[in-house]
Amino acid sequence: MEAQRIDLPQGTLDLLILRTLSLGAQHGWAISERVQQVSSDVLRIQQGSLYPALHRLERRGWIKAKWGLSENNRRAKYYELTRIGQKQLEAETESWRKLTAAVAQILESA
Amino acid sequence: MWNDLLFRLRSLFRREVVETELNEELRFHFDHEVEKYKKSGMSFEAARRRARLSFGGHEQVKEDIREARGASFIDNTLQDLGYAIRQLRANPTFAIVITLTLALSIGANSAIFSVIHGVLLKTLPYPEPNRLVRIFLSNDAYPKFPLNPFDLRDFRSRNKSFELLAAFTRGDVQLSGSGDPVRLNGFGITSGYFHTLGLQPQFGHEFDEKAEIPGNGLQIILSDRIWRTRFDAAPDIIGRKITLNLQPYTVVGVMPPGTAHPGNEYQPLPYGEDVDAWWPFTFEGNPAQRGSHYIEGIGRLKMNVTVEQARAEMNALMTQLGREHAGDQGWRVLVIPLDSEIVGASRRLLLVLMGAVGMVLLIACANAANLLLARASTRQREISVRLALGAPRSRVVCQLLTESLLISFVGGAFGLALALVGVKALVSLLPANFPRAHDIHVSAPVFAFTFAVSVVTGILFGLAPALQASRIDPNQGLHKGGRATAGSGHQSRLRNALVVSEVGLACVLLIGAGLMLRSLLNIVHLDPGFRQDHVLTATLSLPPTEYKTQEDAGRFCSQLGTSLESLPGVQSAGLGSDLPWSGYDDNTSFNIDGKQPPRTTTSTRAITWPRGTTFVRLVHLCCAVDSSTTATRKTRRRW
Repeated sequence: MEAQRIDLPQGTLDLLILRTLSLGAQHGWAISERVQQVSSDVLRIQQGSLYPALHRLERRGWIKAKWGLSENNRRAKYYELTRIGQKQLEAETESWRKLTAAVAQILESA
Repeated sequence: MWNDLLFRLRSLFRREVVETELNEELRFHFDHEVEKYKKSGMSFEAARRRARLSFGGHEQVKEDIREARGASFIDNTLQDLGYAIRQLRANPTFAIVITLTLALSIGANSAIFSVIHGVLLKTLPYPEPNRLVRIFLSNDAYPKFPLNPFDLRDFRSRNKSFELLAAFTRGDVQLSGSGDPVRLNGFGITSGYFHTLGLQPQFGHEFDEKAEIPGNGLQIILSDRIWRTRFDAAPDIIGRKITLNLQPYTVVGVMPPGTAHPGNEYQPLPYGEDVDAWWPFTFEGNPAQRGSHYIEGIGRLKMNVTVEQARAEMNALMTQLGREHAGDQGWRVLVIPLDSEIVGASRRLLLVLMGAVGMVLLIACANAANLLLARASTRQREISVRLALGAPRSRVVCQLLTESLLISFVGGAFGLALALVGVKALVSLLPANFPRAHDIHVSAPVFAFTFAVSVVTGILFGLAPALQASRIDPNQGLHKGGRATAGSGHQSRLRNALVVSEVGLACVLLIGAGLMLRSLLNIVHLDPGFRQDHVLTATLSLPPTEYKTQEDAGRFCSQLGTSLESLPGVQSAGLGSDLPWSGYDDNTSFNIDGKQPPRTTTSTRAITWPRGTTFVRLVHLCCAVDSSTTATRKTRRRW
């Protein structure tokens, strides 16, 4: 049976996308597949939120898109991290670590 | 930021490409999903169904993406604009009336703003013009009087407030030699005059102090215009001798084009008008005699010296001079910033005019708002339908505001066209001595002003009706069946308030216009003491080398008078030194036989314009005698 799924907290979708793209250019489907695999099926990105997020990040200039050929020779839209996106990823990773550490600290102290 | 804008614009203008790409991207994803489910053992049909389920609403996703791309705001606005245009075209009478109302009032505002911008706002064409001041003398009898040349020379050598101090006086010259002799607008200037203004000749140099010594004065600086039109822009003009007043003058400099004259009080040539020749002012006569006042001072303040400090210092200097020379007693020194001297009283006039056209615009706004309110009641059904179908109220307000902005922009565009024509007419109607008339143009700031006024106008007259219209209860609006209904209580109160404010503003304008007209009539009916109708005037100058004595000149004048009178259509002709009330006169004091002379500080004074008897007969001149004020020496003054 499928593992129990967790809804993505607000704002973490961007972080997941940026992190996934930091490994190299990917198309949307591969991004969602990879997140699902790496999180051992706990996290699953809904397509309805993935694509709006990708276009929003592209608008902000954190990622850029170009058309390329996929593994099975189809035209696919590949996204890659820009320099600003790289910086953004570092900043967001940092603040995510702080947040989770702080939350964990509180939960454990109780 | 830049990236963001480009991205939005691409979404907007390459819409088809963007949409195709979007479809392809989503299709790619969908196909991979199907593939994935098939691999897990589902049939093709089951895999498709599953993929579609996990995908969610296809159109909804696309709409979310469009939203994320940030094109929806612009998209909505474009839609609103298209709708607004259709609405206006469906109702042309309304559109024409409201647009013309706004065009007229916005045009009037733009035209007056052009004048205000040219006259009040634009800086003078000199470097650091705020450090330039004009210097005059003043006493109880003459509130604003020119300087005595030797006073100026003492000011120049003793003051500590000014970086530079110079003076000028009008003296036209006659240019002869090649072609017909012409009279040139000329000024005598002291050394450092152009330097004070921050200007320098494009060729040659300006006069040095040596040129101020009597006998060294046969030098001339020409304007660019005269250099081009009379001397074919000759490159070897410097050092050439040209004939002025029948004497050989050496050209020492040519000023660059657009050299603006700073304006003068005495024998006026307004600011900006063309001066064609500058000759060196020479300090002739006895430096101990300080009676004659005919040069105008201009100075450039040192950095960090205020006008008040300079005024205090100059007055201290004047008191000092008064102890040294009897003729210098009793004067105060006026130090006036150049821009307020040039603009002077016209500032208030322009602000009053701006206020008046501003009120006209407010009336137009109230009018337009009323028209919109009236129309809104016929559009109740349409708006109710939109609200009932789920349009948010803000969306309805936006749409109605887009309409009013469209109207005000079209009005603004027509207004600008009106202003372009109007400003030309306005400038040609201005009196000849209106300050800075040359600087009045419909320029970029006027375009910006018109744009801003259009936006403000659109919101001003559109907002209240839009809010009002969006407040309809859809249920009620639909039930009324779209018939034009009398406005609700609130709406009619709003319309009443608008009408009241319109009438109020119109009253203010009418009263103001009436008062102005009254003053104008008073001026028109002012009796100058002579008849001005059917009199033509002309000016000429006689070269002093040819007409050495008063008698020589007199002979020429009486001959000219006789020949003019023999012309058909001329009743009589006369010659004199200057026209009355034209700004120049000689004046002197005298005692009347058998009458007690007035107290020591005052004397009976006459203003005189030396002239032939015919001249007096011609204009039916009465001699004006004023016994109230002072002038115990022969002075020249301006009005």
